[in-house]
Amino acid sequence: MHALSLPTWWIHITSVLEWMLAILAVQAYGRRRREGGWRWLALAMLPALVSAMAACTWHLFDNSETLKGLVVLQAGLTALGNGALALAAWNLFRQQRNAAGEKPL
Amino acid sequence: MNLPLADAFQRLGALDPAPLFVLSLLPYLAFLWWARQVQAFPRLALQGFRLTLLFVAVTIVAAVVAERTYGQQLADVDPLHGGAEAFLTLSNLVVLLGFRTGPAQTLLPGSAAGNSERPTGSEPPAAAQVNKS
Repeated sequence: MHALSLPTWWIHITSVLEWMLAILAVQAYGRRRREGGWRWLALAMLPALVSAMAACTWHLFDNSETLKGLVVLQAGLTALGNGALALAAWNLFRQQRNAAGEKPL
Repeated sequence: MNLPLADAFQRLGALDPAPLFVLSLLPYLAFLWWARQVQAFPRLALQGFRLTLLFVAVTIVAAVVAERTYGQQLADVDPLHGGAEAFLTLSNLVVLLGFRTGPAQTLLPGSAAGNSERPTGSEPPAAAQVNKS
Protein backbone atom coordinates (compact mmCIF):
# COMPACT_ATOMS: atom_id res chain seq x y z
CA MET A 1 0.00 0.00 0.00
CA HIS A 2 3.03 2.26 -0.25
CA ALA A 3 2.79 2.89 -3.98
CA LEU A 4 0.59 5.81 -2.99
CA SER A 5 1.63 8.54 -0.56
CA LEU A 6 -0.74 9.47 2.24
CA PRO A 7 -1.99 12.65 0.47
CA THR A 8 -2.68 10.66 -2.71
CA TRP A 9 -4.61 8.11 -0.64
CA TRP A 10 -6.70 10.85 0.91
CA ILE A 11 -7.45 12.31 -2.52
CA HIS A 12 -8.68 8.87 -3.62
CA ILE A 13 -10.72 8.21 -0.49
CA THR A 14 -12.31 11.67 -0.62
CA SER A 15 -13.35 11.16 -4.25
CA VAL A 16 -15.04 7.86 -3.40
CA LEU A 17 -16.79 9.28 -0.31
CA GLU A 18 -18.04 12.27 -2.31
CA TRP A 19 -19.42 9.95 -4.99
CA MET A 20 -21.24 7.87 -2.34
CA LEU A 21 -22.74 11.02 -0.81
CA ALA A 22 -23.65 12.27 -4.30
CA ILE A 23 -25.63 9.05 -4.92
CA LEU A 24 -27.55 9.65 -1.70
CA ALA A 25 -28.02 13.34 -2.61
CA VAL A 26 -29.51 12.37 -5.99
CA GLN A 27 -31.98 10.08 -4.22
CA ALA A 28 -32.91 12.83 -1.76
CA TYR A 29 -33.29 15.28 -4.64
CA GLY A 30 -35.73 12.89 -6.34
CA ARG A 31 -37.74 12.56 -3.13
CA ARG A 32 -37.94 16.34 -2.77
CA ARG A 33 -39.12 16.69 -6.35
CA ARG A 34 -41.36 13.58 -6.18
CA GLU A 35 -39.92 12.30 -9.44
CA GLY A 36 -38.94 8.66 -9.84
CA GLY A 37 -36.37 9.19 -12.57
CA TRP A 38 -33.74 10.44 -10.14
CA ARG A 39 -33.64 7.07 -8.37
CA TRP A 40 -32.62 5.48 -11.65
CA LEU A 41 -29.88 8.07 -11.98
CA ALA A 42 -28.67 7.23 -8.46
CA LEU A 43 -28.69 3.53 -9.39
CA ALA A 44 -26.78 4.30 -12.59
CA MET A 45 -24.02 5.88 -10.48
CA LEU A 46 -23.29 2.57 -8.73
CA PRO A 47 -21.12 0.88 -11.41
CA ALA A 48 -18.68 3.81 -11.20
CA LEU A 49 -18.52 3.26 -7.43
CA VAL A 50 -17.61 -0.41 -7.88
CA SER A 51 -15.16 0.66 -10.58
CA ALA A 52 -13.48 3.04 -8.14
CA MET A 53 -13.24 0.29 -5.53
CA ALA A 54 -11.54 -1.99 -8.05
CA ALA A 55 -9.01 0.75 -8.76
CA CYS A 56 -8.40 1.42 -5.06
CA THR A 57 -7.93 -2.32 -4.42
CA TRP A 58 -5.30 -2.39 -7.17
CA HIS A 59 -3.53 0.58 -5.56
CA LEU A 60 -3.78 -1.13 -2.16
CA PHE A 61 -1.73 -3.98 -3.62
CA ASP A 62 0.91 -1.57 -4.98
CA ASN A 63 -0.44 -1.62 -8.55
CA SER A 64 0.59 -5.25 -8.86
CA GLU A 65 1.12 -6.59 -12.37
CA THR A 66 -0.62 -9.86 -11.43
CA LEU A 67 -3.72 -7.92 -10.40
CA LYS A 68 -3.93 -6.04 -13.71
CA GLY A 69 -7.36 -7.66 -14.14
CA LEU A 70 -8.67 -5.10 -11.64
CA VAL A 71 -7.77 -2.30 -14.05
CA VAL A 72 -9.62 -4.05 -16.88
CA LEU A 73 -12.55 -4.50 -14.49
CA GLN A 74 -12.36 -0.79 -13.67
CA ALA A 75 -12.41 0.10 -17.38
CA GLY A 76 -15.31 -2.25 -18.11
CA LEU A 77 -17.38 -0.95 -15.22
CA THR A 78 -16.63 2.64 -16.29
CA ALA A 79 -17.99 1.91 -19.78
CA LEU A 80 -21.01 0.11 -18.33
CA GLY A 81 -21.63 2.86 -15.77
CA ASN A 82 -21.42 5.62 -18.36
CA GLY A 83 -23.92 3.76 -20.52
CA ALA A 84 -26.22 3.49 -17.51
CA LEU A 85 -25.83 7.23 -16.82
CA ALA A 86 -26.75 8.00 -20.43
CA LEU A 87 -29.88 5.83 -20.17
CA ALA A 88 -30.87 7.44 -16.87
CA ALA A 89 -30.48 10.97 -18.28
CA TRP A 90 -32.42 9.99 -21.41
CA ASN A 91 -35.17 8.63 -19.13
CA LEU A 92 -35.31 11.95 -17.21
CA PHE A 93 -35.49 13.81 -20.51
CA ARG A 94 -38.28 11.51 -21.73
CA GLN A 95 -40.29 12.02 -18.53
CA GLN A 96 -39.89 15.77 -18.82
CA ARG A 97 -41.28 15.56 -22.35
CA ASN A 98 -44.22 13.43 -21.25
CA ALA A 99 -45.01 15.81 -18.42
CA ALA A 100 -44.92 18.71 -20.87
CA GLY A 101 -47.31 16.79 -23.12
CA GLU A 102 -49.84 16.34 -20.33
CA LYS A 103 -49.72 19.98 -19.32
CA PRO A 104 -49.23 22.09 -22.44
CA LEU A 105 -47.51 25.31 -21.55
CA MET B 1 -4.43 -22.22 -7.20
CA ASN B 2 -6.29 -23.43 -10.25
CA LEU B 3 -9.65 -21.93 -9.44
CA PRO B 4 -11.61 -21.24 -12.63
CA LEU B 5 -12.39 -17.73 -11.42
CA ALA B 6 -8.72 -17.01 -10.83
CA ASP B 7 -7.97 -18.21 -14.37
CA ALA B 8 -10.62 -15.93 -15.79
CA PHE B 9 -9.20 -13.05 -13.77
CA GLN B 10 -5.70 -13.74 -15.13
CA ARG B 11 -7.01 -13.76 -18.69
CA LEU B 12 -8.86 -10.54 -17.97
CA GLY B 13 -5.60 -8.98 -16.83
CA ALA B 14 -4.00 -9.79 -20.17
CA LEU B 15 -6.42 -7.49 -21.96
CA ASP B 16 -5.61 -3.86 -22.71
CA PRO B 17 -7.98 -1.62 -20.74
CA ALA B 18 -7.18 1.50 -22.82
CA PRO B 19 -9.77 0.93 -25.59
CA LEU B 20 -12.47 0.39 -22.95
CA PHE B 21 -11.61 3.71 -21.31
CA VAL B 22 -11.76 5.44 -24.70
CA LEU B 23 -15.05 3.72 -25.55
CA SER B 24 -16.60 4.78 -22.24
CA LEU B 25 -16.25 8.40 -23.29
CA LEU B 26 -19.03 8.11 -25.89
CA PRO B 27 -21.88 7.15 -23.52
CA TYR B 28 -20.59 9.80 -21.10
CA LEU B 29 -20.97 12.49 -23.76
CA ALA B 30 -24.48 11.16 -24.46
CA PHE B 31 -25.18 11.41 -20.73
CA LEU B 32 -24.09 15.07 -20.67
CA TRP B 33 -26.10 15.75 -23.83
CA TRP B 34 -29.37 14.51 -22.29
CA ALA B 35 -28.71 15.82 -18.79
CA ARG B 36 -28.25 19.31 -20.20
CA GLN B 37 -31.74 19.18 -21.69
CA VAL B 38 -33.39 18.17 -18.41
CA GLN B 39 -34.55 21.48 -16.94
CA ALA B 40 -34.70 20.08 -13.40
CA PHE B 41 -31.08 18.89 -13.58
CA PRO B 42 -29.19 21.11 -11.10
CA ARG B 43 -26.88 23.31 -13.18
CA LEU B 44 -24.07 23.08 -10.61
CA ALA B 45 -24.22 19.26 -10.69
CA LEU B 46 -24.05 19.40 -14.48
CA GLN B 47 -20.93 21.56 -14.21
CA GLY B 48 -19.48 18.92 -11.89
CA PHE B 49 -20.17 16.15 -14.39
CA ARG B 50 -18.54 18.28 -17.09
CA LEU B 51 -15.50 18.80 -14.86
CA THR B 52 -15.06 15.01 -14.95
CA LEU B 53 -14.07 15.48 -18.60
CA LEU B 54 -11.33 17.85 -17.42
CA PHE B 55 -10.18 15.10 -15.03
CA VAL B 56 -10.02 12.68 -17.96
CA ALA B 57 -8.00 15.16 -20.04
CA VAL B 58 -5.58 15.87 -17.18
CA THR B 59 -5.21 12.13 -16.54
CA ILE B 60 -4.31 11.47 -20.17
CA VAL B 61 -1.66 14.23 -20.14
CA ALA B 62 -0.29 13.03 -16.78
CA ALA B 63 -0.10 9.45 -18.06
CA VAL B 64 1.88 10.55 -21.13
CA VAL B 65 4.25 12.60 -18.95
CA ALA B 66 4.71 9.67 -16.54
CA GLU B 67 5.53 7.36 -19.44
CA ARG B 68 7.87 9.72 -21.31
CA THR B 69 9.65 11.33 -18.37
CA TYR B 70 9.82 8.46 -15.90
CA GLY B 71 9.13 5.44 -18.09
CA GLN B 72 6.43 4.38 -15.63
CA GLN B 73 2.65 4.00 -15.56
CA LEU B 74 0.78 6.94 -14.03
CA ALA B 75 -0.24 5.02 -10.87
CA ASP B 76 3.45 4.55 -10.02
CA VAL B 77 4.39 8.25 -10.25
CA ASP B 78 2.76 9.48 -7.06
CA PRO B 79 2.71 13.29 -7.51
CA LEU B 80 1.31 13.04 -11.04
CA HIS B 81 -1.16 10.37 -9.93
CA GLY B 82 -2.41 12.34 -6.92
CA GLY B 83 -2.42 15.61 -8.87
CA ALA B 84 -4.58 14.15 -11.63
CA GLU B 85 -6.93 12.39 -9.24
CA ALA B 86 -7.47 15.66 -7.36
CA PHE B 87 -9.46 16.87 -10.38
CA LEU B 88 -11.91 14.01 -9.79
CA THR B 89 -12.16 14.97 -6.12
CA LEU B 90 -13.05 18.48 -7.26
CA SER B 91 -15.62 17.40 -9.84
CA ASN B 92 -17.29 14.92 -7.47
CA LEU B 93 -17.53 17.68 -4.86
CA VAL B 94 -19.27 19.97 -7.35
CA VAL B 95 -21.69 17.16 -8.31
CA LEU B 96 -22.46 16.56 -4.64
CA LEU B 97 -22.99 20.25 -3.87
CA GLY B 98 -25.12 20.60 -6.99
CA PHE B 99 -27.63 18.02 -5.83
CA ARG B 100 -27.56 19.15 -2.22
CA THR B 101 -28.37 22.76 -3.12
CA GLY B 102 -30.48 22.08 -6.24
CA PRO B 103 -33.94 23.59 -6.50
CA ALA B 104 -36.67 21.23 -5.35
CA GLN B 105 -39.47 23.07 -7.12
CA THR B 106 -40.54 22.35 -10.65
CA LEU B 107 -40.47 25.40 -12.88
CA LEU B 108 -43.92 26.92 -13.13
CA PRO B 109 -45.69 26.33 -16.44
CA GLY B 110 -44.90 29.21 -18.72
CA SER B 111 -41.65 30.14 -17.00
CA ALA B 112 -39.67 27.74 -19.18
CA ALA B 113 -39.01 30.23 -21.92
CA GLY B 114 -37.82 29.16 -25.31
CA ASN B 115 -39.13 25.62 -25.12
CA SER B 116 -39.53 24.96 -28.81
CA GLU B 117 -40.08 21.20 -28.53
CA ARG B 118 -43.53 21.62 -27.10
CA PRO B 119 -46.01 19.22 -28.70
CA THR B 120 -48.83 20.94 -30.51
CA GLY B 121 -51.59 20.05 -28.07
CA SER B 122 -55.14 19.54 -29.19
CA GLU B 123 -56.45 21.06 -25.98
CA PRO B 124 -57.41 24.71 -25.96
CA PRO B 125 -55.36 26.88 -23.57
CA ALA B 126 -58.31 27.16 -21.21
CA ALA B 127 -58.30 23.41 -20.59
CA ALA B 128 -54.62 23.59 -19.74
CA GLN B 129 -55.36 26.20 -17.12
CA VAL B 130 -57.94 23.97 -15.48
CA ASN B 131 -55.64 20.97 -15.62
CA LYS B 132 -52.87 22.57 -13.65
CA SER B 133 -52.91 21.43 -10.08
